[in-house]
Amino acid sequence: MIVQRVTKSATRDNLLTWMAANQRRVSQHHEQIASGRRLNATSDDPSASVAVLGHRRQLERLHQFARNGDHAKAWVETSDATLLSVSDQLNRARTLLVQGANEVLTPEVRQVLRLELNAIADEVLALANTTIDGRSLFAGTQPGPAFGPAPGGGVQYDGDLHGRLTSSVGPGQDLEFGTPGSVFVAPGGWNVIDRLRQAADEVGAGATADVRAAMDDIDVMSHQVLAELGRVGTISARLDSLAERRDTLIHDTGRRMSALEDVDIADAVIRMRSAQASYEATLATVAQTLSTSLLNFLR
Amino acid sequence: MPDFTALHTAYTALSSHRRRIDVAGQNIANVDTPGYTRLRAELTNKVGNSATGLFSGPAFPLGVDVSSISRLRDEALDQQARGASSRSGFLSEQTRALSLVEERLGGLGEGSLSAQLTALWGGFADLANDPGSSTARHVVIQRASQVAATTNELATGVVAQHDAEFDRLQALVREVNDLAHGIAALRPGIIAAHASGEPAHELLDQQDRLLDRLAELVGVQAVRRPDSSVDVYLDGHNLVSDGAVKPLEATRSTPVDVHGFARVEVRAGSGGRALEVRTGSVGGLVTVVNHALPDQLARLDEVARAIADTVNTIHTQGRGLLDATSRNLFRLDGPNGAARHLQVEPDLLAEPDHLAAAGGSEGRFGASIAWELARIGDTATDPARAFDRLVGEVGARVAALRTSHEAAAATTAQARSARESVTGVSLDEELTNLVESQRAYEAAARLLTTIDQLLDTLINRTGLVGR
Repeated sequence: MIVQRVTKSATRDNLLTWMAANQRRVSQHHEQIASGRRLNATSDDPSASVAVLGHRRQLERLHQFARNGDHAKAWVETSDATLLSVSDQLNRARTLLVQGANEVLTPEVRQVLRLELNAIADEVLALANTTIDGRSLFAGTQPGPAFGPAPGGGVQYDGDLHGRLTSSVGPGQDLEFGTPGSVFVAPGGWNVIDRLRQAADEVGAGATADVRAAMDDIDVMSHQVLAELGRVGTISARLDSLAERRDTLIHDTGRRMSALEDVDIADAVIRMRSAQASYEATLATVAQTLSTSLLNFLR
Repeated sequence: MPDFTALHTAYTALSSHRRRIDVAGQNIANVDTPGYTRLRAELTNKVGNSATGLFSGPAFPLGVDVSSISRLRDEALDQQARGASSRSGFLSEQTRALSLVEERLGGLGEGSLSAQLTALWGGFADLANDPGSSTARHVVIQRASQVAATTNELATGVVAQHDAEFDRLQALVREVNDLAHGIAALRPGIIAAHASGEPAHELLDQQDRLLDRLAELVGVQAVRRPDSSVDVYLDGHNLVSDGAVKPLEATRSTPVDVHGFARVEVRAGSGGRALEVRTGSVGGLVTVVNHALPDQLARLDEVARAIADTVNTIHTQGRGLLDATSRNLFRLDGPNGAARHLQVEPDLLAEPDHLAAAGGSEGRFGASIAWELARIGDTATDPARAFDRLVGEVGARVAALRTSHEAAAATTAQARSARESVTGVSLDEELTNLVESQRAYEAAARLLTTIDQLLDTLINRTGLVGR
């Protein structure tokens, strides 16, 4: 058996080391409890830290996706309301045209119908040029209003015919949400505003055959608008379900992050109490050990 | 057997035990002196040779003698303790330096580079939501400048730390040289004392203290000579030999590497060969300045290059609000020092409306480029991810170093305490020795009295029987 001499300075050094270690433990728990965080530096727990950083980036991205989604949602809702109004106006125009196709109307009545149809054309033009945040709702990626004056009189579509807007609403999830102004342009190339104005003139002139043709054209346009309304409704529903999923994700990610980086207070307090107890025990030992020597017993 | 021998025996006992009490006193007085090595009076029983010649007979006892005062020290334990403290110093310097790096990276903080990059991608998305906006462009440019500034700061921080660590290395090397001179200066005294047979315990204690500190700094090899002086070697270089010092020098070599760092060497004297210092604080610092910090800067440069490349590749395909010129968003001057030189194109700083959101085939309010820039945050090549990886690696490295350092510190403490258990003073032991010596002294005095009484009987009473 190796008999190790226990010397005074070795005892003192050991006690000091233990005391320092205990004190460090107590202060570590203090720091955790005070900051409420288990991770105060990456090196406290590197793997958990890396996970936390990933979650934090993801959370930031999710919030951004939420902002994008909200923006698209506002856009879609405005589109929906606007297209609905256009559809109403077209229905009203259809009714007026049915009246205008009657061959026995007096010129005064035709005149009133003409004025009303022109007012509808103006209203539809205004609706087609609706802006949101200073941008034209139906102009695609082009600045400026969707419909402007055409060189040969009337109006023309100045936006993108192909330009559907997209938004990034989730990682790898891109959603087309914009409605191009082409919804107001028939496959034949004419647009609804010019057609309404033309129909107004035809009603004014009493050309009933032309008015009937106009009714068919307005029907085509109504269908086009209704189809677009259906698409917009689908997009809106899709945005809602995406937002729901995103909220769940945000909640889950936040919870996972908190589990990694936040202190379990009860656990930390118990650990601190036990560290403190062992520190106090060390102090008591020091007080006893250092004052004891053979001197206490020699006469 | 000569007469009165017993008287002499009693005298040797008295003086020897007086000496033992002196030594115990010395030990007790130095119970708290750091680096003190306890002494022990070695007692040997003296045996008188019977005179050779006519009346030669058996050897007879001549009492006791203090043959030497020995310094209780174990060279092997010294080596062990010094080796452990070299390793501890090596790891402690690296832990300290890398903790600074970790702190500077600010990995978990709200304002870390990774958070700023994510905010930049968010800025692009906000711009994509409102592609005609100058305000959104201002915000993006501001965030991009912030990213550039933070990257610059991180890089210059590494460079500044490199300078500071080199200064520290020089200071440590100066201390090494001072210690070497101290050891050399002790030599004459030690040799003289050795020659005269007088113990030079204080000088030897001092020498050991210097060697301890030297071991912590550079992990030298100390070779003890028969005359108790030491020669000190470092990687084959005789730092101290024959009382002559060949000092070390820390130099920065001129060939500068791609990051602008010079290689740091510890040399044997000015113009001497480069020494390999693999342990001790100096070794730790050399590792830090030659490996850890340049690696760190290289990684930051990679991140900076990734930022500039990923953003520019997309941005050049787009067009700004004002014209269709394709522009870069970030500028890097030269292939090296990317992190230090990353900046936002001055063109865009002056006119944020040049920031591209629309793709080439889109109208001015197109947003496909802005979306693509925003989507960098979802890709595996996201520079923010690369930066977080760097943060994680540094954190893991610091944690590993801290663990090794704690282990090394524990080993050092253990080795010291093992040594301390040999060299240290135990009060109980000294007090026991004291009581023992006191009793022995009293007994010797008693012997003297007894012999005195015998002699008294012989001289004064002989022949007086019955008177």
